[in-house]
Amino acid sequence: MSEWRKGKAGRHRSQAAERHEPLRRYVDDLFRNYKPNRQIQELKEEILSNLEAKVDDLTASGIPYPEAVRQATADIQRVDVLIDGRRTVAINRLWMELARYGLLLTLTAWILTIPFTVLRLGLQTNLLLMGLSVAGSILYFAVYAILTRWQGGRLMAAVKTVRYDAALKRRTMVWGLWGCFIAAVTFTNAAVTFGSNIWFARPFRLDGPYQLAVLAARFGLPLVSIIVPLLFHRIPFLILKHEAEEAHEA
Amino acid sequence: MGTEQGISSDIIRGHIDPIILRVLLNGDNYGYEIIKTIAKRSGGRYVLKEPTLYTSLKRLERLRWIESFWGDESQGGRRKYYRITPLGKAAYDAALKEWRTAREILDLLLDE
Repeated sequence: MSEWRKGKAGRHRSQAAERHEPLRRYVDDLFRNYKPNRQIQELKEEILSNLEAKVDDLTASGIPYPEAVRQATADIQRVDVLIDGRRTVAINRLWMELARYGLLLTLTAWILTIPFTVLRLGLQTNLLLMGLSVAGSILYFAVYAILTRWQGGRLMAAVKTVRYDAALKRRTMVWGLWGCFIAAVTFTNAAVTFGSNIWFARPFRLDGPYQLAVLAARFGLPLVSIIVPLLFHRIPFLILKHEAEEAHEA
Repeated sequence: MGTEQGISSDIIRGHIDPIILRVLLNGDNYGYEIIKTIAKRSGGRYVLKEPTLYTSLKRLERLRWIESFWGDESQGGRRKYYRITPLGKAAYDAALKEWRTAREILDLLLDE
């Protein structure tokens, strides 16, 4: 008797599966860009079973099957918000705050490098930072004006799904790269500065404050590039800060 | 199915976690039935959409306020059922208290 019951249930299941083939296809299509793993598979099953239940309800209340499918699937069009690591953020607000942060860092660096303008390298760095600050500020205010005026300021509320996990990995990678960069620059500077002393086994002597300043500039100014990893470091925090509810809930 | 757009919908959606907990307090349930129950209890004035539901369920499960288990269906795909945990019950009680306090204060501040 249990065989018979299993058989009947099996028949029911395959009948139901055929009946809801359009739904199965729809869910597969929703997840077409994701590689199948257990989380994805379970999510697909859950979404499918809920869609099936909804369509069954709609058809039971007299709505023809194709229309029921259309109504049921209309409420779930995208799944990227449901996958771990993805978050919906107010993307333009995020960019603007990142730009503000970057401008702040650049301005600070410009001011801090003013004492080094007595040296050629210092002057070059300082002028570069000044140029970046001024150009950056003008650009920032221009973009801000556009974002807030155009289309009634709707652009500020625009949302986008971003990959939070990728942002974290990227942050680590950029710090690593920057570390290598600084190591390479420091090594080169050390070779240039102390190479002769090491080669000829001469003790290193500081001849005066000017030489000290030159040394400080040569080794210290490349550190200004820390602005780049700092920007990438900030991004995950900003993603969380500007996380938005799904926009335009119907 | 009528939905109220605008601010009231946003306010309700901000409380979706305790709303779902409340539904599960009445008994274990699964996605679509949760949506139906909410629509019925609100007299059709608030219809929860699937994306919000799934996001909330995921969040609630991560917080261990609910736990999930698979049902054994005779037809169709298997359903994911949810039940409220003791932690979730405590969270619900706290949320309800907070809402009552907020409502009292807002009534005092907004009413004529």
